[in-house]
Amino acid sequence: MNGYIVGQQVINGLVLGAIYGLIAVGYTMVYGIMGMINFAHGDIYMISAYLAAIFLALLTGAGVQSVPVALVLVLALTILFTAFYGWTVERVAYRPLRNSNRLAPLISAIGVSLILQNYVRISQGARNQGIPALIEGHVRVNAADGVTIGQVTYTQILIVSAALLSMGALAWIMRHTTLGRSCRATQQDRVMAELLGINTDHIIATVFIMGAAMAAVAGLLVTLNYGSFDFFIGFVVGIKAFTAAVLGGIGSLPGAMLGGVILGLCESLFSGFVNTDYKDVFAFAVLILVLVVRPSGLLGHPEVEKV
Amino acid sequence: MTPLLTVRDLSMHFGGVAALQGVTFTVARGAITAIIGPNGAGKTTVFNCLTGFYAAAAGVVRLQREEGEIDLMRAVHPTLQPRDYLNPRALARQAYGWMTGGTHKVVRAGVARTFQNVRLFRDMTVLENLLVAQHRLVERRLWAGILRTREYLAAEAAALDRAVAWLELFGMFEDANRLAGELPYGQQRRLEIIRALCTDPVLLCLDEPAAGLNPRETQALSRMILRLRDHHDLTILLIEHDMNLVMNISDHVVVLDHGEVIASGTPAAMQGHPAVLEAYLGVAEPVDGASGGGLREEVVPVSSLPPVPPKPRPPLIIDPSVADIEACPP
Repeated sequence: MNGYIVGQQVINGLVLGAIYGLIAVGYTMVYGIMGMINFAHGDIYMISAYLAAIFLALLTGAGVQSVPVALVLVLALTILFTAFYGWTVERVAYRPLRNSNRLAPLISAIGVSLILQNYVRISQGARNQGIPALIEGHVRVNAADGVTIGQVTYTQILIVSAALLSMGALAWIMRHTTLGRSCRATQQDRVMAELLGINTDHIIATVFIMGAAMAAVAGLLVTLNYGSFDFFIGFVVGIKAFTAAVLGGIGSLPGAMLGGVILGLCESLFSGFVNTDYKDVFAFAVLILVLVVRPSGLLGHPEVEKV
Repeated sequence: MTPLLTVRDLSMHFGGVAALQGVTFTVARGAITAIIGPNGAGKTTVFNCLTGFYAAAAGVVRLQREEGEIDLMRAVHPTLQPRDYLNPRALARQAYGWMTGGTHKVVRAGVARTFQNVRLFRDMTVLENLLVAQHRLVERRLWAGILRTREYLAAEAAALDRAVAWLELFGMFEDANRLAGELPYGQQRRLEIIRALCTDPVLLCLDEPAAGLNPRETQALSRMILRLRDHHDLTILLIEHDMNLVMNISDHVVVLDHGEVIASGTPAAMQGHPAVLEAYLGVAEPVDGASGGGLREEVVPVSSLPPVPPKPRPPLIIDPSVADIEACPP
């Protein structure tokens, strides 16, 4: 087996997995707290890719020359605006259905997904949009004996480190701040949390904002890496990220990250060695296998019936 | 002295079934009030109406705080006044109010409650459970938490102090860093009460706190409740089936049956009250041969019996010195 291809596919898989993981966090947090699958989350990610491109164009137009400065500003603006989208979706489409039948918010989520896709299609056009490559260059990765086993672009390094950094930050917030503590409590028993004086509406809104912010990071990174996107990218990536969340154990933050990386590796290794066309089939076959052996996912808790 | 809590004409129905019909009672400040009654009498429904789980069909629930009177039911389920129709904020609040409820407002008003079953955050430590309960008392803005502002750290330290003080008081300090789900059952129940206390309530509502406890734990529980009343200025409202506990610690007893208050008064008065006997035993007076059977169906209808002169009835309570369960061999 060719060491170069293995190494390169592992690197590609890790990058893909980092993106999946970032988006999967949004699914898993919302599921953990509300028991609901937010199918519009993939489209929030798609919106963030557009927002990132728009802000990049605006900043370039405004005369910002330095790439790092532009990236930091674009990141901040994209997070801010995408978070606003996430918050609005929760407020408009899910909160009114909070106490209704479990299926109602699900259908509402599909509706929101369609609305967001068509809103972008009408306002931005159905054609592929693109941005020029901002970060050029790559480094070679050598094995111990000096043989090159792959190359990593600077953008890929940026993706993985930004993903690790933002997931670390999120995990730290959930672990070490008052708000995170209340989020975890709300996740375990919403009714009881409310009875201890926590305004769970605020907590849920915060969770949507955090999920959207993570998707915004993913959107910007993907835009930088691939340079092209259209109004439909949210669908497939959303489904994959959801798969990653289920694979890792839905409701669990580390599970989402782990699931993303495993899914990314599966996809890229399979397409590198077997067949590119069937990579999704393989990824979902892995999902089914894991669910047969561990129905609650790799790191998930078995569902406890709440009385 | 005005009562702390006034419940007047509280009514609630599920479909066509009337769960509560005109329930009226008061809870005196600094006293222990017990709500008793047979299963299905509507005791927990009263609690659910008080704490905003159910929007009662009719009635008034008022909490008398030092800073003024709080209408609990309007705080949780706001109803529109005529002038509010011109106020967009009030309209919006109403629209979201009935969508989501908002039982956290009851806690802010000063009412804490526990449930019949243990509802701890099992995957969090004992201390974390208590800190979560102080959510409304601490600095909870995200930025303050990330930047570790001085106010945030001071509020966290104060919350930790309060939690530790309660734990020490009730002998659970050693368990502070254990996961709540790992504790033995009796301790979990005690932790639930401590957690409710951490919300800094004036009225503590306990739903069957002694359920599933052994006699020794029940005794500890009654000492705990008495201590809260005597030394911590708390008013306690409890639902309980353990008559021994109720008769020993409560200052006032409200008896519910079929969603109505059938009697209320001191524990001693309730023990011999005919309506209470009727509800519990099925007859107004214990008849020979019928006093042992607590089931309604087995008892001869009262109307078909010749009038029996009143006579002293056997006490409902079991004297702990007689029924020394601990001394029995296993």
